[in-house]
Amino acid sequence: MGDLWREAVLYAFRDFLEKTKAFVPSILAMLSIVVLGTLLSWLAKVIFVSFLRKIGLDRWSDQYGLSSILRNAGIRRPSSQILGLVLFWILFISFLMIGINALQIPATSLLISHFFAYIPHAIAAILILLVGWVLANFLGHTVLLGAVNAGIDFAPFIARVVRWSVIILASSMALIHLGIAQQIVVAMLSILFGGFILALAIAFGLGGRDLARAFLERKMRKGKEGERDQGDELSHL
Amino acid sequence: MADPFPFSLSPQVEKELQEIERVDLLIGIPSYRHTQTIGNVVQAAGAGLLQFFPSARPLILISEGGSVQEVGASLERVREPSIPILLSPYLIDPSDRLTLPYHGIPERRKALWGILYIAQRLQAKTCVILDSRLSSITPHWIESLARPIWQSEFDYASPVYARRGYEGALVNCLVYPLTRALYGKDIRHPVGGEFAMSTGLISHYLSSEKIWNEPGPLPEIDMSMAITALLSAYPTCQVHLGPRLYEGPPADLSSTVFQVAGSLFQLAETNQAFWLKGLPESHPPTLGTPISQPPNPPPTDPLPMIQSFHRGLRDLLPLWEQALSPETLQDLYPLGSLEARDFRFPTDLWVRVIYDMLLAFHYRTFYWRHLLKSLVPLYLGRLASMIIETEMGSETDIEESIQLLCRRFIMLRPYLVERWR
Repeated sequence: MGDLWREAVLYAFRDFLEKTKAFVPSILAMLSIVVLGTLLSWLAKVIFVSFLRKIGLDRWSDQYGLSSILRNAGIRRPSSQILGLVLFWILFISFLMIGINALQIPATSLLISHFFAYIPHAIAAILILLVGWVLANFLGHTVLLGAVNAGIDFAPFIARVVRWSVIILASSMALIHLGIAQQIVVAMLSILFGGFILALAIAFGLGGRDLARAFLERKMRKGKEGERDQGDELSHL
Repeated sequence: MADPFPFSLSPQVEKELQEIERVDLLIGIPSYRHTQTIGNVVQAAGAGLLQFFPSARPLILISEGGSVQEVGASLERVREPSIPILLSPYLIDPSDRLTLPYHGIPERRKALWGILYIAQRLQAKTCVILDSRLSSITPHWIESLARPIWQSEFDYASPVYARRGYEGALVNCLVYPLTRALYGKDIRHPVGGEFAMSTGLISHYLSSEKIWNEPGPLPEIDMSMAITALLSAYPTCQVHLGPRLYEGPPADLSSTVFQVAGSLFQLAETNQAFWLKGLPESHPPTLGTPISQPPNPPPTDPLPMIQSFHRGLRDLLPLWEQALSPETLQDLYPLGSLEARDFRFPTDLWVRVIYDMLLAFHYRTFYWRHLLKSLVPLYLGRLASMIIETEMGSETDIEESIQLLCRRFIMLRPYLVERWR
């Protein structure tokens, strides 16, 4: 009985040691890949950032308002740094996945192959969101300035509608690209935009009949009499 | 060294130029389908040439961006046999046809480039530029503009118009004081569509790369040429012309402010080496007799302007906060609670607003087109304040208020210079 017990315990220990011996190189390989990957990702980031600076990305961002949009969103870093960070994290996560794969755990292999197949979609979705976000802010500001200078009292509301429309459109496109709830997204988008246009039509048609009539009458009278808008009565130059 | 003229003239124009060979006095008129008004301008120019320069070999050159046939037909009734008229078409990019600039001439730079090139080719001693939409032009304008150049006393003649009330407010509130503060030259209307130049200055312009090869829509060519003349050693004068009235729909204020302020700001960047070192103030002579303004200026209601300013303060504050300094903003906030009768936009505050905007444009704090358009409510606020301050005053009071503004722009110049890197 005692021998049997000793044999069982020794077998368990031996088995553990053998498995550990077989696993240690995989762990070391993973650690090496992650450490090397971190260094390479950092190096790639530094080179990429200096390249972006050299081609004048930060200057371009300042000039075309991207920097100010980022500042508004609480991001104080220059555009080159942000893109550098995106590259760093993409490379770092990729190396991490390669490292995990080196462990040769059957459950992770499938996950990793899915991950790498998903990367292009994820990058495209991030880009769609980024472009959509920048475009939404840009168009929002453009509409706001145009409406304020045209004397429209609810200018911020119009600007917000434009901004959120573009953001919703971009988010939906990104979700569709990621393959997440495609049908729900399309249905939601159709209901949202269709409902909005219908609401506007009803609001303007019923609630704003008098306003619309007065507006059109004023416009037509102006056209006939050659009147000028307020503020345009004066020759400014 | 810029290419004297990188575009080709039409074969018809080339043929006519060879026949003309040489002129003494060239009147250049950039035009874009202004068939209703150009006849009046050509008629006045022709009469002025015959009356005041009978011995000169003249040429009226129309640089047309629209239809040469239509403009040619509209000139038939005013054509003076002894004054040759040359119609030179220039091509406009289709995208530039979509929006008209405040002067009504798409790609005016190209039109003026063609006029100056032809003036140089024909060895014109004097070149006068006129706006094709003018309705108030008289033959005396030709004499006033051309005479100082013709007599070789000056190389650049800039206009002084007779204005009623608050006409030309953007010039008075911004263009004139800022130009004077930066470049030291007291030139009343550096954005005028009418001016004259000598053959020497034409060569100087044509050889200047930075005037013609700007990549964007700014700066506007007239301002660019005026400031180049002010910064050069060419003697400059001003001439009294009279009221400046023109036909056609009024320019959109937002676009006008964008183009004018944008041009001023961009030129300030281009010419920073000159003004940062501090240029001494000079007062070019003003020739001729001031022409009295027509009485009873139309009443100007400041209330819609104050409402515009309040709307801007309410809705555009997040944009202004990126451009204006905290001190300027601190002084701006209380203006939002002022009633119309108490509304005042202090002179020094306006000067700091402009200098802050210029700095924000220089540092590209945010998208420059948005920055320039956000200036409109501020300008209307300042204009409303000026109207209220001088409401019961005469033309002299208005002029005094403009001169005070100029002095404050000059006094506060160190504020700009210290912050400019």
